[in-house]
Amino acid sequence: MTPLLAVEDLVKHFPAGGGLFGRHARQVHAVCGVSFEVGRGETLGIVGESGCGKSTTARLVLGLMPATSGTARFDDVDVLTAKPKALRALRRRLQMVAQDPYASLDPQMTVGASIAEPLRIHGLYRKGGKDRVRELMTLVELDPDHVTRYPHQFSGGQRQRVGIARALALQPELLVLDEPISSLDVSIQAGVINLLADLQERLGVAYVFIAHDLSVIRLISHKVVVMYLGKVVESGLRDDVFDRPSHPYTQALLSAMPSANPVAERARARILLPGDVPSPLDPPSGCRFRTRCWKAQDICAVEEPALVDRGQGHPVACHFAEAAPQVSGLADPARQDAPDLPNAAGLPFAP
Amino acid sequence: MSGGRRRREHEGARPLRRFLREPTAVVGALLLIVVTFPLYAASWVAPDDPYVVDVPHRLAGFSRAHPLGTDGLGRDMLSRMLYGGRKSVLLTLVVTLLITFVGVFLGILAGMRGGIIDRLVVQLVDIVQSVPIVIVSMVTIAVLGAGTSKLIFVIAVLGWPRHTRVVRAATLSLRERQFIESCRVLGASRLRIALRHVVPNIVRPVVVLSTLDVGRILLLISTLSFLGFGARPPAPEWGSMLADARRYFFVAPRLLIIPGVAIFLVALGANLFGEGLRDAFEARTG
Amino acid sequence: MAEPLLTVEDLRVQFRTDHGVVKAADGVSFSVFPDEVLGIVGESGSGKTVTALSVLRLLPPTARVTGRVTFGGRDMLALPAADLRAIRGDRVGLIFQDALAALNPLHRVGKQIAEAVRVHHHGTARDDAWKRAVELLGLVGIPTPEERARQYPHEFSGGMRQRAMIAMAIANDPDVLIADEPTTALDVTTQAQILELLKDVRRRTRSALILITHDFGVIAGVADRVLVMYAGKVVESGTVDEVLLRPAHPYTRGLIASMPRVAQETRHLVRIAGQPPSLVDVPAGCPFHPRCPHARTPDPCAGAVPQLLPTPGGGHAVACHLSDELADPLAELGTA
Repeated sequence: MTPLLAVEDLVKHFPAGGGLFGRHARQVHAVCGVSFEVGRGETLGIVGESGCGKSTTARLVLGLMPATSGTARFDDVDVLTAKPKALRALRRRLQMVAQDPYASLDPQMTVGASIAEPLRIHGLYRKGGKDRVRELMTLVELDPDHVTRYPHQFSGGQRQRVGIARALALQPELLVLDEPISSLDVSIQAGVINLLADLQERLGVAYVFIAHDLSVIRLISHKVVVMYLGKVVESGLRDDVFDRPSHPYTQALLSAMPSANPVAERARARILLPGDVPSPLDPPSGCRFRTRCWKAQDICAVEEPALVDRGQGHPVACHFAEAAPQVSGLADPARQDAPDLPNAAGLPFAP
Repeated sequence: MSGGRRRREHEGARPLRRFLREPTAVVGALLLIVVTFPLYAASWVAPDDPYVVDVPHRLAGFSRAHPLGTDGLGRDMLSRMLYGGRKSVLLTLVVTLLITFVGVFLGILAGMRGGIIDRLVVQLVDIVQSVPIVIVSMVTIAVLGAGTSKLIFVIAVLGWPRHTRVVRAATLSLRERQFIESCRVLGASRLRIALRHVVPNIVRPVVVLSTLDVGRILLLISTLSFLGFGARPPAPEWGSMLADARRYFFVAPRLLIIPGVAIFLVALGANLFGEGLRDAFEARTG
Repeated sequence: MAEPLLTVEDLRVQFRTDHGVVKAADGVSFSVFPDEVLGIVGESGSGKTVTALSVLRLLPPTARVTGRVTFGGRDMLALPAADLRAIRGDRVGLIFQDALAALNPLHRVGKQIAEAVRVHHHGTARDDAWKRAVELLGLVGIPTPEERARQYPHEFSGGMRQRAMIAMAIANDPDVLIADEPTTALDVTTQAQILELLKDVRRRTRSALILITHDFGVIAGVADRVLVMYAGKVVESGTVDEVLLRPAHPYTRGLIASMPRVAQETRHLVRIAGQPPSLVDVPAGCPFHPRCPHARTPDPCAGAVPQLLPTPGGGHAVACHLSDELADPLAELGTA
């Protein structure tokens, strides 16, 4: 079955100024050959730290900027080369939820008007638009009588729900969510995550979920892509990547996530990466991670490792890939036999 | 779900409350109302026809029949002030509106389109701003003849750059904001974004700017009229009334003082009001 | 037991705003002992940052602060300004969330650290102060410190700036370090580095550390004791094992249970209903009661403010009217 979204060898370089008349101008190598697929109704999690190119990838896939090279085929139409008319038609099927709930809504418009906007743009408001807006508010668990309120009258979590309602107005098949919960308080994040999971079950919408928080990615993704400095270093089914991380960077990332169990924390050995992420203006030759990698050998500077299955069951871009299940702060040995969820232990919180 | 017991107020109410708390703003508003109000009611309040010449009673002082006395030709000052004021204020408003529209249009056009169009507009702004408005007005009117319509034309053609700069800057910064990008993803055309998102969000700074401009434009109009390039006599207008009054300075200084003070008060009122608006709007974020 | 280094008693901080009086901190009391790490956990609006800043009187003049903050036998809130300045940067070091804001962009990094030394040790020669600055940069793990000391803050990466800030904070071997969300703005791998550095630095200098954060994971790895704050009040305190593994307050339980890290297998997270309250309009009685699934209103939960009382087990205190009823094996979130 053809995937809903197929990205192949996506590349984006930004000019970084300098140089006379653009000659010898430096380039920011933001995205350097990224490929992945998203099937209908599933979630692809893209995880990585700042500068890895995940947000740029999101923008490219949404057709918000031209790519340097590569394709992003949404159901066989290449978003990157589509004519404006075709792109507009695509918009009904491919939508976005932005990161900052405080900036993603026009402060001068009521939330009802914001949610209705996609309907108006595509000429769908006249017939039953009002009801649809109320329906959408209910869908994201907001009171439909609040359609006439302004964004500043809502909390961050609620504004994010408005953003989700707006994104769903056209019944898209794929939603790109760029760090949708990072700006929210921890106790509010859970609600939004639950909502997104529910909506996927109910509506069958696929997600490309971008985050830097591995624990959230783990919770909501079916497949995972790990990015570093513009490249995909590891990808696969969620359990493959989380239970058998094979790229040193993935292992370091998982290791860096502290769990909330102090006993486990004290017992755990941690991987600490030296130094900082190199500049995307001048990425290291060969394997980009080699400057911070404890396994680096000569070959790493010479030959860039390809993203292929090297025996772990999922693609890894490392010459010395080796699965290491114990690293994760998420894999909590102390909790293996613990009562499953606080829920199960009888705490009467609403799920 | 929407927890908290705060009263949900309409967004417009808070700036109003804040506005009312600023003493300068309230003073400005009151001043404007007091000084300009009679102008609307000119036809009822004016004791006389401002054109009626009554030479035997020229330069008369304050009296029941003529509360502000008469001018050099015996015309009732109060009536001339009222009708003249109406003319001055109306002219000012018309010009301000024209400038606002032209400025906003060009500013948004430059901000949204970018590229060559933007550069052209910026160049135009620089050129027009460096033109000395008084001199050009004088030359134009010398060539085309005096008259209020010519006055409006000249000022409007030369007065828009400030608005354009402000609106363009505001548009550029708005473009970067997340909700504008969200609209693009929804499929909105640039025109739609400009009309439904940029314009409502720049209304506030534009209103403040225009209000503050009123004083400047009134002074400009008065100056040009004073120099003889505006309303043609015998039409009353504060600036030209000032010009007429010069020769009577030692005999009846009130003929100079009254229109002068009136111009000053209106300009001051508009400025205070504009600043009050700005403070009320700005404090909104937070 | 040792004498506490720093004691905060009944701290109250209020701000007057357009909307009313904001009670940012409302009766906060705690102690910090030598050589321990105290974590203060809470979400935005819980009052944790305000509490920490008020210890050094770093709040804006619009803040009304009452209570006692005893350090070195003196009340910090009543100290004359000169004495306060002598303590800041010398006996108490501060590490902020945003290194860019704390470092002067116009001065070289080495110079700023050397300043920090010279301001408190007037006799120090410039050379010696510079050498100490370089030494400190090396101590915090910055490679080639002699070169780096001559650079400006914008030439440092985020992680390195944070290290530089830590270097400045420990320059004079303070007794207490206060770190306000020191890793929140950093990437996860950098965060791990900085936390490890903080632990290291503390071991070396034996200073106490007050670590303010919203992240329980950070607390679990670094803290000895924890305070949980909500709406300007301390709702739970105790050793890190007690509070994180056997949370007694419904808010703490809800918060821990709603962390994606904790819910491992299913996609459904437990969550706390409602929103944190506005600090202008804190609910009467227990501030958490409108969101608490166990609350009994109006009595006692909407009536009196619950006091922070020790639990029977020891090493643990909670501010909840119903703590006896809720203290149960139910509370265990995992085997230790």
